[in-house]
Amino acid sequence: MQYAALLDFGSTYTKVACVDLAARQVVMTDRFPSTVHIDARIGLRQCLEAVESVIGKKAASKALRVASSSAAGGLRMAVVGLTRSLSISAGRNAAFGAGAKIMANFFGRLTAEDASALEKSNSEIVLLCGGYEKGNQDIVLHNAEVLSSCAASIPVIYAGNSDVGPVVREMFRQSGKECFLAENIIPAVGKMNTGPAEEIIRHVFMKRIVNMNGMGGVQDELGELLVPTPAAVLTAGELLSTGTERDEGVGPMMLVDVGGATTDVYSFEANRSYQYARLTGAPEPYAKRTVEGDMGMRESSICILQEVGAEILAKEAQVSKEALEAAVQKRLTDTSILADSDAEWRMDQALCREAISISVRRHAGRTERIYSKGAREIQRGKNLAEVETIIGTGGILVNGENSRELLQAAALADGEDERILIPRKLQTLVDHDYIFYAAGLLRAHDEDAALAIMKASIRV
Amino acid sequence: MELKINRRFNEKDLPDMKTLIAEGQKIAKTVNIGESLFMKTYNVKSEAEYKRKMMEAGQIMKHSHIGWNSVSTTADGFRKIYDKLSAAGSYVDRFGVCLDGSMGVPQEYRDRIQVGTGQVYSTPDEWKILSQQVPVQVHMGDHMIGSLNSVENCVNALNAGITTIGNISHYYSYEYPGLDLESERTITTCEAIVVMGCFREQGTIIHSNLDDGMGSQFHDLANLAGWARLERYIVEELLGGGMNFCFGNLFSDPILRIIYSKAMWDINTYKTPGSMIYGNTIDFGTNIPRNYGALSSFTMADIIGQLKYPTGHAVTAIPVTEAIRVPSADEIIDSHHTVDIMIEKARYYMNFIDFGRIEEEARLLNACGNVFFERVLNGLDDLGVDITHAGQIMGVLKGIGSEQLERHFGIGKRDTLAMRGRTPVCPTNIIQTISATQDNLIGRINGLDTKPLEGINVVLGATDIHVFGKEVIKKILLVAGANVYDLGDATPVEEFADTLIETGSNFLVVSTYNGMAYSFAKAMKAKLYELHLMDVKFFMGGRLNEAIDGANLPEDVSEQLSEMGINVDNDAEMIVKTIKTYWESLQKQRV
Repeated sequence: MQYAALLDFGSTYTKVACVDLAARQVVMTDRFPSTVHIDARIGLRQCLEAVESVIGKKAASKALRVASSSAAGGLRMAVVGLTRSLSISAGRNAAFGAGAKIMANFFGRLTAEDASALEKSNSEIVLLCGGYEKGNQDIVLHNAEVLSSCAASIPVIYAGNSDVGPVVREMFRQSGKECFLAENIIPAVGKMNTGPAEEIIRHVFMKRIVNMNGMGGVQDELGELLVPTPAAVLTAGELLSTGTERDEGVGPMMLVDVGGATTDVYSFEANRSYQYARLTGAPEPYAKRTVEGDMGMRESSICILQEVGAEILAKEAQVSKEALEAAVQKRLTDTSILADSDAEWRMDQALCREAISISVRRHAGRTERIYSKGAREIQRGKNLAEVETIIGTGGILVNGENSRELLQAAALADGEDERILIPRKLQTLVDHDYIFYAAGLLRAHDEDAALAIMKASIRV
Repeated sequence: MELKINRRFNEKDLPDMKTLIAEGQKIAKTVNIGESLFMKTYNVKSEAEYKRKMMEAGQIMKHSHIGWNSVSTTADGFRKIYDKLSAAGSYVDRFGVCLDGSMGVPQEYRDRIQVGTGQVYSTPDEWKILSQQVPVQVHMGDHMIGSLNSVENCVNALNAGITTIGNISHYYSYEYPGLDLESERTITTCEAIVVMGCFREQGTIIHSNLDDGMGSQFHDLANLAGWARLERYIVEELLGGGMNFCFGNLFSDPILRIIYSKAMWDINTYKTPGSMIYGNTIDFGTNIPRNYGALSSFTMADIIGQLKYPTGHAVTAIPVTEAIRVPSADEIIDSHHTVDIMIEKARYYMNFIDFGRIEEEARLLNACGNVFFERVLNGLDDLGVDITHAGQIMGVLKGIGSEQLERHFGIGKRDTLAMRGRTPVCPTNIIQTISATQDNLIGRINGLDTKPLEGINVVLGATDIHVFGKEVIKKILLVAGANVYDLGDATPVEEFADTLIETGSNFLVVSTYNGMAYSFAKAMKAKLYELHLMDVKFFMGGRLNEAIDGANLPEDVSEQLSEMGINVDNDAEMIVKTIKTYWESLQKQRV
């Protein structure tokens, strides 16, 4: 096996990257308009034919073939826990880490209103968590009961206090709902164990996706399980940061992907205290992903407008307020439009810059003072103040010409509150070959090749 | 092995050892060790040379620590102390002078550090003033080697004729708030050690106060002996400096002081003379007559130790007012008179002390310490740390911290109920006190063997960095069978509240010390109310005081806390019973 054909089934494109494993080089990349709405196997065929045309039929037939998918907007999840700082925080990390998008989260004792909000949230899986080991049972059981009597038949992954795991599962079984048990994501004070829950989430995702148009056929043909695209990107980023035994990584870094509906932020760094602040809340993972469902260039452009304010955004884009509002409306009705004038281009730039700025600030932790007397700094969330590298990937950042300037929005601005733990100064890079998903897929098979293709793709 | 390393920088990015050593040697070429008035008077090239002569002659040296801030006050004080002691037929060999914290950082960062109460020198010439006042040698410990300004301060001190310089231990324990320049700090510390090493033959001594650094955070003195070996390995074997340890602040047991001094001498490969054995300051309080007793007890032991096993350490005369105020010159002079009579009488004890036992204990400490040392170095090697690189070892050891070092590499027998998971071979005096308190209380509480709190969850934490009270209660609760969720020190209100929810616990036990009991209680109660956790039984213990409404002095607030429904018995013996009773009443309500 000399080659790997790495595919991604997105809702806009089906992409392929062919890698020469021995040379650790990308041989070709290509993309075709997505066919997931008709039959995903068409896209698969197009990609494989493109690979064959470059490396030949024989080599292509022997090539490693793996695929990821973010079709249908990825996996939509809800997280139900006991407290925002502990179980919800760990639960969100698990869901994001598995490649999901979080539609809703609820903490504390679930009410009837919560349950109906959850039903309306369009979630496909619920992560039910909470309680340290030997800890809370009462609220956990209450929440399980409320969820199991919901009308919606959403599969549940239970990753809370294991004392009541079997009882919880039985409650769902009796109401005819699927429930999978994972190890407790917060087993003890200061410990986090999201790995097992993430694996189950990915498994459920895969099972769900095979029922989509032709996806099952794709999976059968590849003989390999599909991976959620963001999970592949997360594992790729971690590899790029930490390196392999043979080759060094780039160290602490961040990755941003601004899409039409959402903005994904990834950070890779061991969390540590910023200037001796005391860490509080659930532990933060080395590889962390967050998704902002209200930050995007098209479907979500209205949310950016609302958060930033029309006047400020218009000024940034050097257009009138009215022109900006009209442009946002246009982006909502036709999410596939491309900027076709200077003014349109400047508005896209402004939207992108704000999406990055806001999403990165939501991703990062912050410090604050506690108690009026004997005050001490505490730190919630992840410290990214010392990250000095940010990489832009996806859509506008790969194809745009001004990406490096836009990425600077992730750094602390002059005069901005230093308690926000975002990078102080940044070197900005762009993933020119849009290769992270492919490297993530390749990592399990050949991590040196996976690292090499990323290093070749990220450039100034 | 599950070690969490709080890395402040990537140790692999440090310059290699060759570069560090070459840089240090280059700097050393610019240094000319000055001649202090002391060196001139006694015709020596360094303090070490003098110390060796005194060791040979069986003479006891004496040290005083000087804590005044201005150079001129200090110089006046030096002269006054020296003149008055000489006139009375007494003496002092060395003065310890403390730099201001702001001097511990390079000039460009100095405006970020609040100026405190130490010496501030703005030119190299100002460094020379104090060593030319009287024939008493100046020692400089804090904010020197180990600080962010290690090289500059070290060079200035050497040029001024100061040859005993500290304080390596500060690298591991002291922080400059708001300045996180660990990589730079590691480099400058290593280079300063190399500079000192270049003058090792001439008698430079690198000083490290075990009781001021990571050593003070250890629970087991056997591990501390191993730690000393680690520091020695880094400074002497890897960087070529000559070092010796100071200790004593936390050694309350007089005989233990002799044992430790002997143990440290036995691992002193190059027999570098010591700086001083510091006074036992944990026994000092507001009761002056008691403080005299404390001063007499530790200096007597230190003198006996020096007579039997001369190590070059001076005996420290701590003024009896030390815990109350910055001592005046006269108070320092008084303390020397007390020590003088101890020197006079110590000789009478010599033939009646069982030194064999002392040596046996010292051997045990070193044997155990050696195992700790080997375990740590092997562990670092397994972690991929280059154990021939001084800076890499220092950075990673600091990132691991004392607690994990003792837990993972410690020598004591494993015991899940013990703090740090091991029973110390030779507990420090503070740990001895806590253990004695714990054992005493556990012995006095009836029925603990029936595990009365089995299945009951308790959330525990401290409002500040003082955790010993919390540890005492924790042991009692664990022995009583409770599931204890320990949130550690400086725990925020929200974390207590959220942990109560995640654990489904009805019990919150908070230890406090720093004079914020009332503010904390108010915030905590508000949070409990907000989260519908009003049926949580809330205990507060420790020092329940606070300066209310801008008052200068803190006042007792236990009455206010009690009115808020907080249990303020401050009675460790009662806690098991109170929890049990409340638990039973809750169960009844539920039925």
